[in-house]
Amino acid sequence: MKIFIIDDDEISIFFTERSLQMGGFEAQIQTFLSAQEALNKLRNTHLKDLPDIIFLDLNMPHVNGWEFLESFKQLSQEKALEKCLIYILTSSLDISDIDKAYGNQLVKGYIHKPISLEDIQAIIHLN
Amino acid sequence: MLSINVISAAFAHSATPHLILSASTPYPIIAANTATGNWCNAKSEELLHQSVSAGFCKITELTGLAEAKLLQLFDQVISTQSAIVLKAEPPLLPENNKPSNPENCFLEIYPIVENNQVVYLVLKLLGWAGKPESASIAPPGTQQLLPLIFDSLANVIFVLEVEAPDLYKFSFANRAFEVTTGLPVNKVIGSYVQEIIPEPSLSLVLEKYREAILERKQVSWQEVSDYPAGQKTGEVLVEPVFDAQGNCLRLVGMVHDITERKEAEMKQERLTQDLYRHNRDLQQFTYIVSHNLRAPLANALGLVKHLPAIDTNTALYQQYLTHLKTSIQKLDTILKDVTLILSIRDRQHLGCTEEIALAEVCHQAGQDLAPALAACDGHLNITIDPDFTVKGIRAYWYSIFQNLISNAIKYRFADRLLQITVTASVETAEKKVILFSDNGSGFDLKKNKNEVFKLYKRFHDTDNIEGRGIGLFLVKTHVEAMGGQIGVKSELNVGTTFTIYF
Repeated sequence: MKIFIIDDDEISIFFTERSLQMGGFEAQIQTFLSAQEALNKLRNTHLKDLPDIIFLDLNMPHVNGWEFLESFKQLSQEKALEKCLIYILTSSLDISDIDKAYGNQLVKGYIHKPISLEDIQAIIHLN
Repeated sequence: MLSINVISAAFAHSATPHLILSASTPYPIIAANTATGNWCNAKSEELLHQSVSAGFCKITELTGLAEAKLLQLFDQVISTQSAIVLKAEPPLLPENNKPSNPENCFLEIYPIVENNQVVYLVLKLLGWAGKPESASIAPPGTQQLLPLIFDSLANVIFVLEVEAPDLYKFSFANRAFEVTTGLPVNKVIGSYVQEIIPEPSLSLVLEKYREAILERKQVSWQEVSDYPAGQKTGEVLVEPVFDAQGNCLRLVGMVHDITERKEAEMKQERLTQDLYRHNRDLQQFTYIVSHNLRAPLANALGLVKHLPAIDTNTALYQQYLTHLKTSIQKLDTILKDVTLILSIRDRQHLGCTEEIALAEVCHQAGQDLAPALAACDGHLNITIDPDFTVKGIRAYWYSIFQNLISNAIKYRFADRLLQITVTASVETAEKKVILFSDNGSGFDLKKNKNEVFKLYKRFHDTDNIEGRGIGLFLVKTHVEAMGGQIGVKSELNVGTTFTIYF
């Protein structure tokens, strides 16, 4: 399984990566400190190397999580990205963020940071 | 003929009921002030066109006098061109609006005379509205009557003789003129408008007088003027008076002093703006708590949860501790930022407002950043007159320049030497403009229009540059806390200009 973690916060990436490992996720994890970097990678990645799961932060400079989703939608018209399941992983407690996330067809789930072992087990179970 | 609008405007704000009747049968009501309407529980417009004995609200009922008696009094006032004042018992209309002291109720009937003809009758119902007023039993002569009436009014009444184009001389001003402006009436009368009305109101006033004469109509406007009695805001109305040949002889004017109303409106507006700003701050702080404050907290919570399962003698454990420390420090920084911003927003230091020599503060900020400027071969060009001052707080102005210069250095364009220019100018007597420009990397204003001055927002594609995204937020907060405004123009790879208005 391949996983992308997109987050501008290095400590958050460290923690999520560690949690996935501790939760028994046998996966190849790639991390990105900016959404733009992740979009570039998706554009230039062969279909077989596309991630199965993307953990996406919302509050990021330059290209935020919502803008990433917009670009991802456009990209999916050129490229078969259906297999990528996007989970919002954010510290935001803003109700409007939750509503907006669940209103977006690309979003599979919404997880409040810090990600827990229970969250990871649920994702493993679904996939 | 003397305009009914001018006459009725003179009585409009009086607390005493006034009715103006046409001086010919059937003596219809052609104007009634609000006090009359309030007294008889009707809108003043509803009283219009009612006559002595007919209509919705008959004058006989309003005055409590029989029709024959009223007609006799009107004939007497018209034929003698003299006023009549008689003690009267007001009718109990309406039932719940009895005068406080029926002994002090008088009916006064005044003629308004023009060209030796009585054109209007004014009925003044003294004591009717429940507020006793003194009345003179012996009526004054007709010649002195109008000035006496006008002197009893709260509104300013004046008459200007038109001597030549743009040459207007005061021939009459009532006592309210003196009370409102602080200028003695005896000095006003005989003076030209230019000697009495100060600029910038004078230009507006002369323009309106010209308009009234040229278009032969009543003209009204609002003006703010500085008089010995203070700054006054008035609603002005002037009516031109022409002779048979169509020459404008005089201007009859009325001013309703709305200074208090305007001040109340401004206070209300300031309160609304404060409320809006507080609401916006609250939304912003909710955002900060839910996003920025929560992020390091969530990291710390997660790291602490993992710690018991990690061997304390490993490098991984040390890595966890380092991240934990960083997260807690970040939390502390955000809390300090929020406290700093709140202290500025609360304007705790506004008592220390002083005239600041801007060039000096700007030079000081530039000197403190001189090593960073020199390191990039940047040049700071301050062209502010040493005598140019703005009101404010020195520390805030220093912070504004320090943040702007620091940002210009951080986000300079890599392929050219940094040039920063600071200028200041006086745009109007009440508006000063400070321009801060650089030839740096600029940014996409279309994309970031609403984000530029927001807290913890960064919009340059330069991830290697240190910064928390608080500098411009502080600049805007400082500017607004001192009562100014800030705007920005920027073009990618060309540069940025901040404009501060004070």
